[in-house]
Amino acid sequence: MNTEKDLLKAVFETKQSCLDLKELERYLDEETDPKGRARMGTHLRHCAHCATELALLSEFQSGSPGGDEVEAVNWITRRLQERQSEIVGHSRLSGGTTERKWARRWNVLRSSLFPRHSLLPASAVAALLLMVVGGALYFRNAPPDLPAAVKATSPLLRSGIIEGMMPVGELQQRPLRLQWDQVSAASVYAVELFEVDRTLLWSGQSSSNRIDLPEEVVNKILVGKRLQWRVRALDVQGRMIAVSETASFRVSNSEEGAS
Amino acid sequence: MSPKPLDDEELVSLWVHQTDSPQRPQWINELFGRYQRRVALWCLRISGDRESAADLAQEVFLKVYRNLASFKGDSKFSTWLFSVTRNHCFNYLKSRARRPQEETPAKPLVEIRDPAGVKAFERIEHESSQRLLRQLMNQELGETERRVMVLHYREELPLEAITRLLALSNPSGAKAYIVSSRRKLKRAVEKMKKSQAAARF
Repeated sequence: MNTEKDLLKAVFETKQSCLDLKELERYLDEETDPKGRARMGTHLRHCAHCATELALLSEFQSGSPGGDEVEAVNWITRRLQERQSEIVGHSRLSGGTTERKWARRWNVLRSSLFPRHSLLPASAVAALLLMVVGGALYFRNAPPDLPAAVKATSPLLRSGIIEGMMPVGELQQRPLRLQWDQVSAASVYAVELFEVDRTLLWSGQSSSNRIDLPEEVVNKILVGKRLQWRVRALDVQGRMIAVSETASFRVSNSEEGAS
Repeated sequence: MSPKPLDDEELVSLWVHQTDSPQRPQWINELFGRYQRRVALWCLRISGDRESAADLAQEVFLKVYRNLASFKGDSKFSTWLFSVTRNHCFNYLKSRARRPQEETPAKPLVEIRDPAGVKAFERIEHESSQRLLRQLMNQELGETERRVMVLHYREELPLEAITRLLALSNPSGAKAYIVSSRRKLKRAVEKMKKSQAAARF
């Protein structure tokens, strides 16, 4: 190492003990247990690299434009919205790459078959070749024909919100069961119960639109403490097809005992 | 109960798995719409002008779109997006710095020499170790000074980009922090040398 620049670069090199982005995210969101948080805090005090990463992540997550940046950010955002179709249409652009390849092939073919001064009607030849190329592209990109049995099954459902969640709001007694509206094509429902800081208390699965809470979970539901829960509907292949909003409830009655 | 919007990770999951759904454009537009301003701001601070920033932001979203299926959901989508944006923008700055016409001056801002004419940092390297320098930095430098040093020396970002990225409002921006950091480190090195000399007697 010869230069001051190299030395300083080496000083800031990542070490094995350095925190990755997921850990920094949890630290920022205060989702770590006190022991882990203390360990991370100590590391961050002594590691300029991780402290800088944390500052950049925080700025990205919650930073807002300064006075002279607002107009430029508005302008860039408008440009992005205008270009959105270019961005999300990129799968078609990938197809475009294929089309560009074909265009190049066409140019090579045209120049080799029909030199510049050829007297052949170019438009007729172009139309013929386009038919050939177009046909090839069509058969190349066409989806394979499905067996009749598969075609006969119902199409994929549009995803949606699961509604009809019970319990929600203020309760007089501890709930023994969670339930929701049924989603057709759902094979299983995955349920999560957590505290307001997103600490998971319990999770379970049910094949029907309700699930009984185990006794030890019911006992964890403290009077006055708000809890949240949500449910996801999965199809037979385990794909999520619907999700509920996050519902919350609180047992406000000081009387102990479940219904 | 009124319907609540899907969170980012749910939108990604639906978009990735529901390949035949007519709602896919809505999901992706919703997801990207939530982050356009954040990515725009970041790219503006990196590039310094809105035209380049718009191109840069478009490239970021294109990259995200192409790689969305590889998002595993073990971090938040916003953290993953940050990682893509950060890497793309830092690479952009590095590639721009390599272009001869836009090359930043290689000459150090401040050259710290001790009375014997040896560069203080080289002396540190010989006499002690990187660990010692790290320790001095932690002791002597403020939070912002350390961040500027990391971004300039490790990430090799130009000073004007660091000024914008950290929203430094002082007149000389990041340059002032580099100068003050070097001055503090020089002072600490001299102090350390003196105490070492005193200990020998």
